[in-house]
Amino acid sequence: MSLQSASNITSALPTSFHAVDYEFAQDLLDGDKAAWTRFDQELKPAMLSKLAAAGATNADAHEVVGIVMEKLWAQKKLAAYTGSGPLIGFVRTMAANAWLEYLRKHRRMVPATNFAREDSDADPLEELSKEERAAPQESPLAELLRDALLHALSQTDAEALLVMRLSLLQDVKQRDLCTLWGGCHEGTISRKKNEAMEQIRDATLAYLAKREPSLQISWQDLLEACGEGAEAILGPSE
Amino acid sequence: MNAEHDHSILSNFLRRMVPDVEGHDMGDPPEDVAPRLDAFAAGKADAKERAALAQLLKEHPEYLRYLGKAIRMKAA
Repeated sequence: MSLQSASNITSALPTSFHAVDYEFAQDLLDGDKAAWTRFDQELKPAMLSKLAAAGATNADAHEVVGIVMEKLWAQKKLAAYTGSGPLIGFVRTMAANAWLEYLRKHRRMVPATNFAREDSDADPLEELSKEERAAPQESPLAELLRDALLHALSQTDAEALLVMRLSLLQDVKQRDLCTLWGGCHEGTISRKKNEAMEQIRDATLAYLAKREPSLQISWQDLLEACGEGAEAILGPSE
Repeated sequence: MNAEHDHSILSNFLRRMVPDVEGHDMGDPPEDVAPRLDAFAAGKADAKERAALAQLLKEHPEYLRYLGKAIRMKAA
């Protein structure tokens, strides 16, 4: 390939394209031994530490990493990686998603091992069937995060949210927002934007803690999953 | 926390999951809403009307694009 054509290709790519990581992923998909050794040395520990931080025991973490490896390699999920973020974010988000699947699967298995529950008159098979219907999801993490964020948006102060959206989504200038808000100081507008974001963060984390207490997810984890790791749970963007 | 950075990540994510939630364009708002948004864009909304419109836009983020455009046009 000539330098000129290579330059044309790279200039058409998003500025955040991670070429080295993308090449690494291709080597992994090709079954390159050295690449898989590097994977074991760099990406496996990253997943294990992520899982430990999310509340997994050492044994659980290794089992979940095994599941992720199976998805990445046998199910070729790695092919969804386009290099739009670091590969480490992609695999860590896959690990978080697999951990959530794992937690939910184990929650369903508990009643299955205890059919004759004395405290319930319900038909255990019916109960299991209900849980089975509610359970399977391809991207439980993406759906959980979506639900958490939508809940958080519903809890956020309406005016602060409007200021934030007009500023960040609609590119309305700060001084124009001051005019619309009765000639207030620019600091008031900045404060409202920050307030909105803080409310979204707090309400999102509170929702996650309530809905999935076993999944210990931080705001940084969530941003990684929604950002550079999004391809891991949603596939490549269009 | 960097509000702009965080918001950009979350809104891109939500746009993929639920396209309407972050101001996806659904055309012009209904006849009873558009004049209120225009008045707001012209700086003619008092605190009570601002609060009412903020609530409306929270429930109907699809009107955000119309409002943003109206504000930018008035400011130009």
